[in-house]
Amino acid sequence: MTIDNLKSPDLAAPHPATADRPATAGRPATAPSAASTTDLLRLDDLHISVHHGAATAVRGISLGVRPGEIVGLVGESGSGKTLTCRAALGVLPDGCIIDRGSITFAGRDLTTLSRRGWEDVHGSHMGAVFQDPASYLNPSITVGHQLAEVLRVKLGLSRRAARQRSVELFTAVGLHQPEHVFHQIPAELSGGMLQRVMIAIAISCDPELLVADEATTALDVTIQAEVIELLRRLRAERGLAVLFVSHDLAVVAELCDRVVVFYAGEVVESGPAAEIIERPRHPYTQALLRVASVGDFRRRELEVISGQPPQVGEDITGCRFAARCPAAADACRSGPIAPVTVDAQHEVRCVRAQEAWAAGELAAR
Amino acid sequence: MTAPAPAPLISPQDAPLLAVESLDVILGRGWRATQVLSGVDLAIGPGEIVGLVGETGSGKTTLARTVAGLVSPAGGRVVFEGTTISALRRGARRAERRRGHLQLVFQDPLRSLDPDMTVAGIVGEGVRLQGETDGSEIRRRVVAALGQVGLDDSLLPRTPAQISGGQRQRVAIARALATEPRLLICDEPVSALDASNRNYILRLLDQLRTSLGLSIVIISHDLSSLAGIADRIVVLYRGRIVEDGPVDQVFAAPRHPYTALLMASAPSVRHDRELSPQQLTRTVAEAVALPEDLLAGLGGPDACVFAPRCAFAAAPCATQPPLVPAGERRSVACHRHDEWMTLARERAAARTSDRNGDRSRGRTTEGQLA
Repeated sequence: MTIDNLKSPDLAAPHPATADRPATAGRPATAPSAASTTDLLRLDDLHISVHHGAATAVRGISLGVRPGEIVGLVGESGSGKTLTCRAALGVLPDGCIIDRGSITFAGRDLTTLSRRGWEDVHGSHMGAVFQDPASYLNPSITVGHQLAEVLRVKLGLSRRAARQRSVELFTAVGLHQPEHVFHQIPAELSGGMLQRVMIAIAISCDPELLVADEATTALDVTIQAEVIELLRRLRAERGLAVLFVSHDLAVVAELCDRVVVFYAGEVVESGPAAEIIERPRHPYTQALLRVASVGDFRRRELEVISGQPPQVGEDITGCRFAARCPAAADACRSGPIAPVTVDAQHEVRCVRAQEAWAAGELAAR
Repeated sequence: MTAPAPAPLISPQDAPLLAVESLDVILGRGWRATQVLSGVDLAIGPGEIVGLVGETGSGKTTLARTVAGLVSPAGGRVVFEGTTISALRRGARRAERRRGHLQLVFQDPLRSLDPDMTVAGIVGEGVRLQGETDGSEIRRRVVAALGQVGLDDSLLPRTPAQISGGQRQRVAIARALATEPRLLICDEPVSALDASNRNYILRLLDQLRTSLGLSIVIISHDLSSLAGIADRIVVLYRGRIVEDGPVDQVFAAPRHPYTALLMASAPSVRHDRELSPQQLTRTVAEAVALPEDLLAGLGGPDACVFAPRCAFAAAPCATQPPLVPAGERRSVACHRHDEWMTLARERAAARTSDRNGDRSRGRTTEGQLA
């Protein structure tokens, strides 16, 4: 791909979000309408290996994010959710290789994208925030300068215009006294404020997609609630799609339209958030729900998921969760398990998907 | 699953194991000096699990470090097992620390455990510091401590990097248990773990309380899982205790707006909260609408620590309220602890009608556009 056709107008055409951006201010906050069924980001049969091909950590992930949709990836540490979103961002760590599969963003194949191509995608079409905001900012330069720099480089704004736009963005992400914050260095700001600064930088060039990898994990609960509220508002105001990664199912349930549950490098269940929370079909999702902080403030027996997840790259015939599953049968270990569609948009990778819900219902009583 | 854990073993006549009395801690010197704790009173009874909650910078960790003798208080005292340990100096303090009756467990075992030492060395270090020189006795106690946290001796020759995150935190707890402590202070022991491991560690601490009669202080900001095991909750805000009481009562009816804010902010898979965080904190618009002298008072140095964020702050809140008894075994530091809940409900009702108004306005606009 050459730079010319990357910048060409047909780039904007496949996703309606860019075309009518100024008019979308009043876009409803609720789930994507039928009009936006084309995926903004689409991963198909993605395989990623780590340690220069020694072990396969992500095994055939397929998922899509539609414009203005908030999709949550949830799973234990080591389940491959971070690798998946890093692959989508084109920032895989050293030694990690995409073996198979495709990543399409707004009709463009990202797996073959050149360095210059990524420069155009990053910021302008995709923004990202991570767990530890302080490590992504220069500690000795004011946060305002760091945001203005992005605006000047990416959008070619003048010094004065970049400064003005920075203050507007700081206001948009809910920072108090934005003019004052502009002149502060990262050490003078709290964790929650820094994460807001990171979000301001990530959305500064009006991207269609924000990737948030454990973006609220290190924050206090009160601040976490505020950042979640901010993401919700940005989606409502700007039609921003969010790929939200977290190990906490409760946080994902709070924010997301759709949930994708990862286990040992595979998607075991995906579907609308309310559906997954109300009627989880996969035994792993049911277990995650039982251990999640459910907003229950009573004294109770804290449950655990027995056993350990398989080692990264371990080859297992059949279901990867079978060893820890209370409902595992012979059929679970005999061969690969294909995802089953149990309901509209609700897919489960379990041979007992139709029964599992009944079992979960019994257990809950 | 077993029945809920027994009621707290403490009764009011029991002498507390640890008593912290009007503790003031100032960190830094000269113009850098910051008062981190102000007048903290806290008593921990034998066999009690106390959850200490609060946000970053509220002084939770400083309180733990002061109790352990790592920070010298500027005022007040710390009494542990009848000894005023905050008054001990040099040799006496070192001797007290080496007894190992009070142990700390830190948040990130990868950073708190020496990466070059084996599990055997890490867990046995405290025993050696207690003066034990017999190698086989040290090993016996190390294996016993590992057994108490559900690990076996196959881990002994491994280093922290060679075991999983959940196991590492269990090794950190075994290290603390090896010296047979009376009080365990766990500083965010589960924040770095996923939900399943988090519950495992908390359950383990609950079992240790029962089997060893340990008193445990758990510092955490995850209220929901604390509610599962703690007997008492102590809420710290900007270096002051704002609420203290039995866990079930505090969570059933918080008396301080900050406790309510923490509960409202906790993520939940259900959407059935009575109050949202927005209803408990003051919006910028509301702050602007307040009379100027009141606003200045609420932001002043003598004001209630929570007043700058509190939606219910009024004129009396320009002075810091003391921690006063509010019901049986409960105390709260809020001038309006009897009133704010009613105000919050009114606010919630007002918001709902507002939002309905917005929605109908929105519909008209859409209608006009169509």
